[in-house]
Amino acid sequence: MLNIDHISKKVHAFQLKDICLDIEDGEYVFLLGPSGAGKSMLFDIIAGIIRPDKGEIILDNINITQFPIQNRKIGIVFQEDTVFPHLNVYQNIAYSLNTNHTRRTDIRDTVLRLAAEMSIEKLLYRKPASLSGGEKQRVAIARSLAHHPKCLLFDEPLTFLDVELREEIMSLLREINKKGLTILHITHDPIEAFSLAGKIAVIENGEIVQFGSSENIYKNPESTFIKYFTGKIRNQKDSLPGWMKL
Amino acid sequence: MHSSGKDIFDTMHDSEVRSSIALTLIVSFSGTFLFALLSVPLAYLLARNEFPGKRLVSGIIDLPIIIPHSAAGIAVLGFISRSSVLGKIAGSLGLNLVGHPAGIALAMAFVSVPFLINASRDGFINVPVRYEKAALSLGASPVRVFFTISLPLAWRSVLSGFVMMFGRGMSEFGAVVIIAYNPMTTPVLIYERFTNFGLKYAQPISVIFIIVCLLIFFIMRLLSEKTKSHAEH
Repeated sequence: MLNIDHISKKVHAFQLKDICLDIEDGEYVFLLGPSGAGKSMLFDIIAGIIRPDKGEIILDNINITQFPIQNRKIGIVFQEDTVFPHLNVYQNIAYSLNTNHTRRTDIRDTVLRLAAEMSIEKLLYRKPASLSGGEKQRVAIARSLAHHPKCLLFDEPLTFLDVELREEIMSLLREINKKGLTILHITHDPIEAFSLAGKIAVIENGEIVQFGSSENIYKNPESTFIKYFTGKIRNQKDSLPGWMKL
Repeated sequence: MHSSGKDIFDTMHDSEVRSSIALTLIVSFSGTFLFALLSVPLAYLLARNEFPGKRLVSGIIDLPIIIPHSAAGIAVLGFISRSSVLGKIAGSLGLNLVGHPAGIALAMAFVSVPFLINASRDGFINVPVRYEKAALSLGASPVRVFFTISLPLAWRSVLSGFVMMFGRGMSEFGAVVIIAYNPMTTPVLIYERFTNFGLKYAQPISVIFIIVCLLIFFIMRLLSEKTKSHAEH
C-alpha cells in the first residue's frame, strides 16, 4: 500500500498543498491534471528525486520519505526515453539483476521471461538506437519489473507514441496491473485515464481536487478540467483555465 | 625544417634522444593517468552539483592555462621542495621530488590537468540526468551509476581530455625545466641542443619528437574510432 500523507512542497511561486492519497495494493491509479498542476513535482517526491517540505511517503507501512531513490523499491518509467543507449536490450533488462549479484542463469531466465511478456524477445541483442519509441518503452517497463518493485510510477509514458503504439502499451499496462502490481500513472490526457479505468486523482494548482473511481469522476466532475472534458462547461469560456482557451 | 634523412637517422640512434623521448612519454602518461583518477570524479561533481564558490573552483582549475608556465613551475617547486610538507614526506621516504621523474610528472600534470577536467565536465553535462535517475531507481548505488552509466556515456569527452592532457604534458617546457633540468625531457633536450650546439642539432630531435607525437595521436584516434564503431553495433 502506498500512502501519500499530507505532502507539501514550495518551489518559487508554485506550491503542492497538503496532498493526501491512499493507494491500495494492486490498484491502478491515475494522477490526472493539466500542465503545471504539480503532477511531475509529486512524481519526483514519490520517486525520491526531490524531498517534500512537509508530509510523508509510506510504502508497505515503511516511511520512505527520506530514503534515497535506490532504496525505495519503486519502479519508474519516464516520459522520455531512458533506455541506456550504450547497453543492448538484454543488458538493459538485466541491469538491476547484476546489482544484486544474482546468478547468471537466473538473470538469463528472468530477462527471457520478461522479454517474452513484453514481446521483445527478438530485440534482446539490439542497441536502443535501432528501436522504435514503443519498443523502448517496453524495454523500460521490463527493466523496471526486473527489479521487483513494490509499485510502479509512470510519468506520461504514452506521450511520444503514435495512436497504435499507445493502444499496445495501454493493454500491456493493464496486463501488468492484473498480475497485482500497484501502479500510479501520471497523465494530462483524460482519454488515457478514463480508458484504463481504475481510480483517478485529479490535481489542479497543486491540490488534489477529486479522488475516486473513474466512473464517479466522469459522472460528477468537481474540477474545471474534467468538467470541460465531459462537456459540462462546453460554452462557459470564462471558467476555463488559461491553457484551454487557446 | 631543414634536416636531412641522415641527420634524423643518426639522431634516432642517439641514446640520449631515445631515453629523453621514452622519459617524456612515460612521465606524461603516468602523470595524466594518476591525475585522471581524481580529476574525472571531480569533473563529474562539478557537472552535477551546484555549491557556493563553484565559479571560484572553476577559475582555480583554469589558472594553470593562463599563468606563465615558468610561474607554474615555481608554484610546483614551492609545493614539492624539501622544505614543503610534500617534500618532507617524500624526503622521509628517501625521495627528492625536485629533479626526479615524479616531480616532472607533477609539473606536466599541473599545467595540463585543466584540459582533462574541462573536457570531462562538458562530457558529463551532456549525459542526460534521467539515465542516472533511472539507474538509481533500479537499485544501483551512485558509485555504480557513475561507472556503468555516466562514465561510459561521457567516455568520448573524457578520452579526448585525457589525450589533450597527455599531449600538453609531453610538450611542456617552462614548468618542467624549473623542476628538473635533468633527467631531460625531449622539450628540454631540444632547448639544450639549440643553446649549446645551434639550430642544426636541435632540428632533427624536433622532427623525431613531432613524428612520435603524430603517431601516438593517430593511434589513439584510430582506437577511439574502432571502439565507437563497436559500440554502435
